[in-house]
Amino acid sequence: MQQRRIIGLAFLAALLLTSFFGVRVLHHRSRFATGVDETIRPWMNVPYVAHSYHVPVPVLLDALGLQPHPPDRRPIRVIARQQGRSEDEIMTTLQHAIDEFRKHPAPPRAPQPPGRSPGAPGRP
Amino acid sequence: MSLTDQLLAGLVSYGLPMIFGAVLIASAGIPLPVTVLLVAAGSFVAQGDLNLRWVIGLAISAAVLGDQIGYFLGRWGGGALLARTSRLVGGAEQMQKAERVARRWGGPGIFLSRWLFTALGPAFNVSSGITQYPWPRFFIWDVAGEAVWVVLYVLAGELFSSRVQALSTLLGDLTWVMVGLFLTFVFGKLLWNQTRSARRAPIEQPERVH
Repeated sequence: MQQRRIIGLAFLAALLLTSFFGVRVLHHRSRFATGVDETIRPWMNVPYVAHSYHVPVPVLLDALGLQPHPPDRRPIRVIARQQGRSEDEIMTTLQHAIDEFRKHPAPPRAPQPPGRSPGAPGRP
Repeated sequence: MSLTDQLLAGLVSYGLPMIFGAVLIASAGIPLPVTVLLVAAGSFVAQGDLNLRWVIGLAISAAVLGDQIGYFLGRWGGGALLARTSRLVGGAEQMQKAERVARRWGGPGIFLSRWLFTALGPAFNVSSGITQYPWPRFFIWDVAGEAVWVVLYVLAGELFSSRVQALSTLLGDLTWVMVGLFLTFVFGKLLWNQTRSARRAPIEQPERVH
């Protein structure tokens, strides 16, 4: 009798587990299907953020004051440490650059040949 | 930073060695969120940062190697545990029954726990070792299951390369739904059998008395 009760409780626990994660799956499925933007996290590198938000990589590197070539592939947390800034600050800067680009999409700044002054056409 | 974030930052910084190390440790039984790592690796493949063949080859090798650690821990170190467990579940006879069930259903169980009920994988490794499930068969089912797991998750990451976090959360929750369904089925069947035998008992009892 006691064994049956324990199995019954285990059965109920398994049902609860299934229902809990089932509801989460439905919730996340709808978020996934609607294509909600990924939250920028410290593990991401700038090319991934650019890829995720469909923004040219140089636009984001430029916002952080980094050279566009070769593209910087370090995680945000490493960039923050090396620039002496907080991760939040870097992520906010990237978010602003993305928002600005989405408001006024413009081609990224072309790499400057040596000897030319900055501020050439193509600068957003 | 969360453990997931640290793992992913490691992937961004170190690439393939990080995949190998994390998958090996997770398969040996230390809980690490490696699903998201494989999905992220797929995304970096899509962006041209990692090579698909290397990612798949290394991840399968690491997973299989980690599983062997769990299996042999169960096989060589499981003696004391077996003696204790057998007392708890009703003696050597029950353990022999468990061994027979493991030999009969062990293969498909090992295969499915690699990619469908991934949360149960390490437990299956150790229990396969404890119940002396034949190693060559364990190895074959294991390689097949891990190959499905790695290819599925890496390709999913490659396909939805711009949504690593959303996809990982969805796949992680889906895995727990599958585990929940599996456990519901197992306990439901046990409960059904117990209820049926309890109903039969009062009918059989008077026959024994007379």
